[in-house]
Amino acid sequence: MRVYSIAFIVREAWKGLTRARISTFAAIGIIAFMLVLLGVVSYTFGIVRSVFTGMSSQLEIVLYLKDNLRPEDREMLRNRIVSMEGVKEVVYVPKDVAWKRFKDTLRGNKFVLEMLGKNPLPDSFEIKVDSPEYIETLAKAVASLPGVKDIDVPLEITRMVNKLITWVEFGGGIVVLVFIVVSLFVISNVIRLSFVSRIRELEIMQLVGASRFFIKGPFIFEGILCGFFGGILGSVLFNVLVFLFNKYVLSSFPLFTGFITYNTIDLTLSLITFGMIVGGIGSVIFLERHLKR
Amino acid sequence: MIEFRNVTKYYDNGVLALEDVSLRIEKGEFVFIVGPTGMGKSTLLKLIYREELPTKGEVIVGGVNVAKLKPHQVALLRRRLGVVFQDFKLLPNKTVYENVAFALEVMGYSSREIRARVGKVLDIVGLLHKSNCYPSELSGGEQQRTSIARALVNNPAILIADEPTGNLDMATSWEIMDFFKRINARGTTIVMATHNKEIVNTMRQRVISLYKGRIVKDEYKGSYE
Repeated sequence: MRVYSIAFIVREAWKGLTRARISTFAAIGIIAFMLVLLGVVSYTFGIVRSVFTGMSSQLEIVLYLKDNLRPEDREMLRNRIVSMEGVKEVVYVPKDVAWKRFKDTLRGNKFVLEMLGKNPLPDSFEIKVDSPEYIETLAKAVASLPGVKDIDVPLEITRMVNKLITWVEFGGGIVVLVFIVVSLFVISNVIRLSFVSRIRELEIMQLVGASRFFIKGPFIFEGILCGFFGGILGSVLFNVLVFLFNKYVLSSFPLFTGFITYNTIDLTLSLITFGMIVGGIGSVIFLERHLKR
Repeated sequence: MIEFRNVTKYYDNGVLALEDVSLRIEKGEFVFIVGPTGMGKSTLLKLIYREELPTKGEVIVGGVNVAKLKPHQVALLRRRLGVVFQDFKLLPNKTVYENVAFALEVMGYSSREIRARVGKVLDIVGLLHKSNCYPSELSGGEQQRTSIARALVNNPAILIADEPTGNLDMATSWEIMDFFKRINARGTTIVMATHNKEIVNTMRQRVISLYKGRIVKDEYKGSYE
């Protein structure tokens, strides 16, 4: 491919984009709008998912140990648990620490503390898991280990959270998919319509003997450029929205903010790429319909 | 150079445009295709530059059966032809220079070659001083000269003109015909559809008359009637 052929395509695409300003702006605006919608939907889905997984990562199994357990047996037990699948961390909580924490939570409720008298709590292990789906099987496996006195498993909550995560992923996935399809349809049609006034140009190009590469190149590149600028505009708007949402809405829920690890860089890049791909698809559809064989 | 062998053309809507047409046009000829509107003149020309395909029969251009060409070969065929239309078919958002240069750009010429060729052909049609004008700033005659410049810029062996004077007054039409004569004198084959009797009768060239899709007359040094 000769350099001036590429230069021709780039130049023609740029001319096409800049001369029909109103239709170009309209197309870029609509693409940006669709991408903002798609971004917001994906982001909401991401946040909800991140809140749930964040919450579920707080779930843990508490293993109460027998009172007379020797430190070396305790260490052996700990090593055994650490090596099990799905275990993220095993924290040893001596009875004094547990008692102190308990007293802290009951601060101001002297009556209960006086009633309890001395420390009734045993030593314990707090087992954190990689994902809540491991909790049930792990609980069964560790309950019968030597040195274990009792076990506390948040079974009900675990099941509920697991179910919720499944639903959020399934429902959110479907909603995002629907939005992707709708944006694909809208954006490719916007591109196609912005080219309709140039069917004559297509006809003339064919009449003067332009090869299909020369005819298609500028249109496809222009569609991609249009998608790119729509993507940039949409991403800026989307990130402004996210910023405002985080600042004014999310900050009122400090409980959640700690869980949210979702960043917008990947999503922004995906939106721009999506805009470019769909812009190109719109051009190809236009060419397929109007280019005579 | 151009040969029609028993060509019949039906359009998809069932209209019969040409029926059993056979003709031969030799290199360097100047041929008028005449007849009332709707008698098949444009169809005959479209078959030459392969805008349409024959329903039956064969159209041979430069020794090649155009029906058998692949898309990229169609592009190559059209580069050997220049086509001029009644409505000029200029790109409204390109200048005179750009409209002509466009035909070379799509063939992948370098910008230096393009500059040289376009300058030369615009000089021939007398539009060098209007290079930077847009079609809307030109008279009908100037627009047609621009489209002729575009058709000629690649030195085509054949020039096809479909009612090139249809939108022009008589004086301007003669100006255009003057160009055609000069181009023809340089060896370019010209096939021109028209229903301008005065032009046909004055030029005294080969005249092929079509009526209801059939050739009813084919005369050298002929006239419209």
